[in-house]
Amino acid sequence: MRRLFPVFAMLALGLTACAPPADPLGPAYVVETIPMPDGLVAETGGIDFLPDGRLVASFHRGEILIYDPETQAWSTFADGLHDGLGILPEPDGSVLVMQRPELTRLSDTDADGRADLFETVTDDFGMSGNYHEFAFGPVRDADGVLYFSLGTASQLAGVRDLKRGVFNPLGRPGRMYSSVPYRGYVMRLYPDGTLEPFANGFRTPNGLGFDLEGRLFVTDNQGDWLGTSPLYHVEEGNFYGHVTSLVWEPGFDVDPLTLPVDSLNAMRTLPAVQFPHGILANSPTQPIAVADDRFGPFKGQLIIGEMNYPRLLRVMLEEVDGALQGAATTLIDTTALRKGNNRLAFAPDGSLWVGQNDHGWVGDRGIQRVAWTGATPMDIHTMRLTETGFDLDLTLPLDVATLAADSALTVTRYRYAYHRAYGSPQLDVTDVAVTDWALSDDARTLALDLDELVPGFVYQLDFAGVRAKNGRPLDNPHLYYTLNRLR
Amino acid sequence: MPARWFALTVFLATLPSLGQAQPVQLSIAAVEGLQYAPMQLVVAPGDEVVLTMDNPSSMIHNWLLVAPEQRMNVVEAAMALGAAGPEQEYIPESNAVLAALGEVAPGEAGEVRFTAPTEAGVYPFVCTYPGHGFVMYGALYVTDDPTTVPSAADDPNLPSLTRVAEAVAPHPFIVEYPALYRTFVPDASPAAIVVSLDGDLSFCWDASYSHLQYAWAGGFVDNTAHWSGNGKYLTELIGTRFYQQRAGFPFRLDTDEDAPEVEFLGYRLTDRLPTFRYAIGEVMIEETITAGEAPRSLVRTFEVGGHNGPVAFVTEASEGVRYDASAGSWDEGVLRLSSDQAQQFSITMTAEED
Repeated sequence: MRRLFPVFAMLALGLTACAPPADPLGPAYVVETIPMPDGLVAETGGIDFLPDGRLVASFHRGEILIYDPETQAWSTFADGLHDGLGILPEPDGSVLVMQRPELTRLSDTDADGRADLFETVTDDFGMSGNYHEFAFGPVRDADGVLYFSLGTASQLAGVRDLKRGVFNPLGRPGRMYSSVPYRGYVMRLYPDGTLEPFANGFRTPNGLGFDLEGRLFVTDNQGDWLGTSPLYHVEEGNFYGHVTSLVWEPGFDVDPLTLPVDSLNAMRTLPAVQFPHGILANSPTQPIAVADDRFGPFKGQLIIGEMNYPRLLRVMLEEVDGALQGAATTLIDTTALRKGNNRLAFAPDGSLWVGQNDHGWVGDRGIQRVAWTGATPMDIHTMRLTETGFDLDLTLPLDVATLAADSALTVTRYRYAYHRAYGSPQLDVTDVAVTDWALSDDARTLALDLDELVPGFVYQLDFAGVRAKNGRPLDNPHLYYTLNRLR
Repeated sequence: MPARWFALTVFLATLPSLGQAQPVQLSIAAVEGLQYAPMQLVVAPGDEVVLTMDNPSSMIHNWLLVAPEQRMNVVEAAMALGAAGPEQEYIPESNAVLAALGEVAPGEAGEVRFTAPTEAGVYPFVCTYPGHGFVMYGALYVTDDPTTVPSAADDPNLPSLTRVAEAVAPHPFIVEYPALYRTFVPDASPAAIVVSLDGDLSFCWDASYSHLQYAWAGGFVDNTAHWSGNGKYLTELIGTRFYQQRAGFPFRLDTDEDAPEVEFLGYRLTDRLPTFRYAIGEVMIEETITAGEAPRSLVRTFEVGGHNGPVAFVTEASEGVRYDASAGSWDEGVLRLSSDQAQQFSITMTAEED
């Protein structure tokens, strides 16, 4: 089946764009920059596509703008909102915007192209006035239930006299803090308006998304209690490790910073994937599942934005011993893409649109469009843990001769501390010997035996000089597998 | 080095220039659009300088000469003054501040005398009113050879025209009034809404508490500081407050007991004018605020729906305004309405003469 992918791709592109057949050795993805309207400071907080195929986008200074890809014209849908960091069109034509203070439904009731009704969907969460209390999301599951996340406050600023929500002094200490309700939580909102805390232990969870099986994933940012940035598989009632939000657990009456780290560590759910800081990613953003075959050979996998590097990340997950874990790599790593890749949305034509932001930190501004050319990238499609190492499924048959060199593959492992301090260096960095390898008859699966497999470590695989049989070099030669559990 | 030099400057600046050469006269203006004109000044090392600044713009500005590369540090230090900022005219205590001219109000002028640095170099000058310093700055060239000063168009030490344009025309459209922003402003909760009816008459309506917090005249807001980066700084109000609520949530249904629980439902825009909607249980209230006939007055039109008992609207004498109502009767600052009267009524708030 996989051999047919390029043919399908050419057909798909041919129908829409009359593209010539892709060069199998040429780029697999191309990046196009979308023209932005004059006068817009394009710090992009949210993008998505309306039912009619137009793009709707939220910007830092409160504008909600609509872009028609056909006419390349921008129009203003709304203004005056507060730093909307998420946007979600609804089937009825209204648009949900996650503003700092509330989730708001914007409706154009007189059909003049501009929103005139701004309805509070929920504001039942606290605000201390601290600038770092961002709100992210929402995402909607198959039943219409919404999920959004609430960032914690920063010790680089205090709280204001007039707050919203009850102030809890137990949540005030710490580098990042949760002194008003549900900061550091993922929240669940039912269609009938019932809002409930869903999971906690988050720091600045700037990215929510479902995979094709309806599992919720949330990214977070390296900092206190986060040795490096993670991707979590988020399930109801779990605690994900950033401690301050524990103060909102019913009956919780101590400063969680006084609890032993070992106890906290035992309470937390581990990240499904860790993104090595300063190596792969410094600030991962929104996860989005590849829904079909129009974006290359990665249907079902997650693509994740990244703020500090001109990259998109790709995550391949598997269930091991009842929990999800897996590997991260880059999908594209090119200066044609800008930094600040904050928000992702698939367009009706199957291309991926990327909204960029800097927001006072590292990043860029604007919107770009990433399209698959039809060329099959030479990539590790799937990385699976075995009892003795890893099986790597490849997108193209591997030229076995390129694997013979000693330098063709190096494996190292390291781990990150779970502690109150900000970030973590790589700890216990160890070279791991590849004791044996075998390539399948179709040259599409490479089985690696490693000297040792140790839970709690990230396994980094660095390929060099490895090519497909068609001569294409490995497009993304670095992989990082988070080994929480053994087979 | 800067610390000792600063002390010397202050010393010289406070003495008459006995036996010294005539000071160099510099003039500058703080002009509309958060800019100095000119943005470049040139003196020789050690010159005695008298700088005068006119302010034909519509906002208050100051002028601080700072040590090389220290502009943003001084800007941040000024913002960190918080509530002490206005009193100190946003001049932070810092060795990096080499000379300072405090508040110059719109239409006025100010003068500062200082000794130019003895070391040649590029010394930024900047306005440290909140947010201004991100775009409102220039460069004092201290040099014996003015021909080395780059042309303003090529000067990397000056704000880019793009950044200035972003501060002055901040959106991809022209701001039309009534205009509304949800933002962080002083003396309100973090869920504040600010509205200006015409660019001059403005108010803050607080979505956390579903009531008006205050109103002011003379301008709207400057979001430059709040928008720069991650939102750490508050939006600045432009103008003078004439109304400050003291009574809290004003409505009482059936009883004069404590203020009821209220839920903010959102707002509807009619020709950009918001009608706020909130609920006390099943009782729906809509509030639309327009300009009154007097220069500093607001007409608040209310519609209370779904309530069959008496309605009271509570005010305080110290709120800075005189109240008039279209219906009901006043009883020691409390407007008492029947449920029929409450279905639609208006309250006019007019600034008391001061």
